Amino acid sequence: MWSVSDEALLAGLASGESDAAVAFIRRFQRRVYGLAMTILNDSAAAEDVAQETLARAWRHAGAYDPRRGPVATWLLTIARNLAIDALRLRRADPVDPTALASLQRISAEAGPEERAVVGDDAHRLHEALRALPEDQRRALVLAAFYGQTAREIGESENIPLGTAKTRIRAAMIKLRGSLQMEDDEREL
Amino acid sequence: MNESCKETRELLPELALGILGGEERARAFDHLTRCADCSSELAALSRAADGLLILAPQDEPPAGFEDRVLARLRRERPKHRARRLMTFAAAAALIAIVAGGAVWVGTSQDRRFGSYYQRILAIQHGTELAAAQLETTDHLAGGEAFTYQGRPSWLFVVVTAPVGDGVYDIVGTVHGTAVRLGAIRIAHGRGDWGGTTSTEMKSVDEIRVVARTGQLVLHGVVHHN
Ligand SMILES: [Zn+2]
Repeated sequence: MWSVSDEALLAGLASGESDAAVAFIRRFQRRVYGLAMTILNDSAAAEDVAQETLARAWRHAGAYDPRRGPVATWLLTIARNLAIDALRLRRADPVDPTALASLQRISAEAGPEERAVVGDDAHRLHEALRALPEDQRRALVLAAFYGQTAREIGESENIPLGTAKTRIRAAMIKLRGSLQMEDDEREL
Repeated sequence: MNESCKETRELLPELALGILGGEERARAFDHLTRCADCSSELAALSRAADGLLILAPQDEPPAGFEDRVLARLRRERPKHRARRLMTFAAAAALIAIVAGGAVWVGTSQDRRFGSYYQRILAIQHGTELAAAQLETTDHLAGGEAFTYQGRPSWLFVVVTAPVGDGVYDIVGTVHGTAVRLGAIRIAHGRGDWGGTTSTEMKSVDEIRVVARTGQLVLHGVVHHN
């Protein structure tokens, strides 16, 4: 069961096989819970999010479209959205000092050994993220992981709205460019 | 690239990150329904934004997590299974009604028939029928749309998504141009709409459900055979 592809496992999940459900949970729980923990920094809240994410995957497995990206990415976008909702419910002020500490873990932990598991995109994005100037990286991670708007980033970073938008935009264009490069190489 | 494109490109990074709100978001979506270039730029940026999530550190969930998730899935299972029990006859009856040109308004029970309906229609009508899985902007399943190219051509949309009560426009994309095809009333997260149309359904490559504020609620690529 462990050697089947993520897509096949999800298809098994959609067909309601209970072995597939167990294998699916085991394969993705550390990623889903890890992301929820990074965002929420609270194990009970993170477990709620991780459970809900896997339950939604179970309910909506039939709707997964492989052309949209890997299964892991699909799951993690669900987990992120749920975690951000939980974060917004919990705090009037979504700026969290632990966020900044977690950012450092994000840019430090994912190494090249992950490449086989998560594909080339992750490797390229990790390199591109590391190469960003510190202020752009912080703005990007606050937006991508914590769902902070440009206005909120401006407030927490003590910079004008226009500067926050410029940092986000510059960072995204570099990340997008790193994936483009990969596609170009593949075509050669 | 015209002025409208330039203006939209400025907004796309924030849109891809899911942090663009209100009026700017509506303005961007309005342009995107008409511009294939900007839409593919958004897709590239979204791939980067979503791809970042995999870089988050992994972490072991608390003891017993697996059992708690399994217990939860088991509770939800009956609903999940009901979808598979639809009979061929029921789907065929549904097709007869819609293909006959009538506007069909289904019961909640009928709404579960979606994927079977698609499969059977595909067998019966070959290339004239196409289907789209509709999803929310955060990639969750939110319904289905079926298009039929014929005499008359028709469209049928089923929505099951947690969106606000109200009337929404159904918009098709034909060669990058948005065409309004109908309107759907959604109440308590459910709604359906079916009707005949003079728009060439085989040219529709995307179906969108758009709020009256211009905000995109659901969208799906139409898979023509
Ligand atoms: Zn454009």
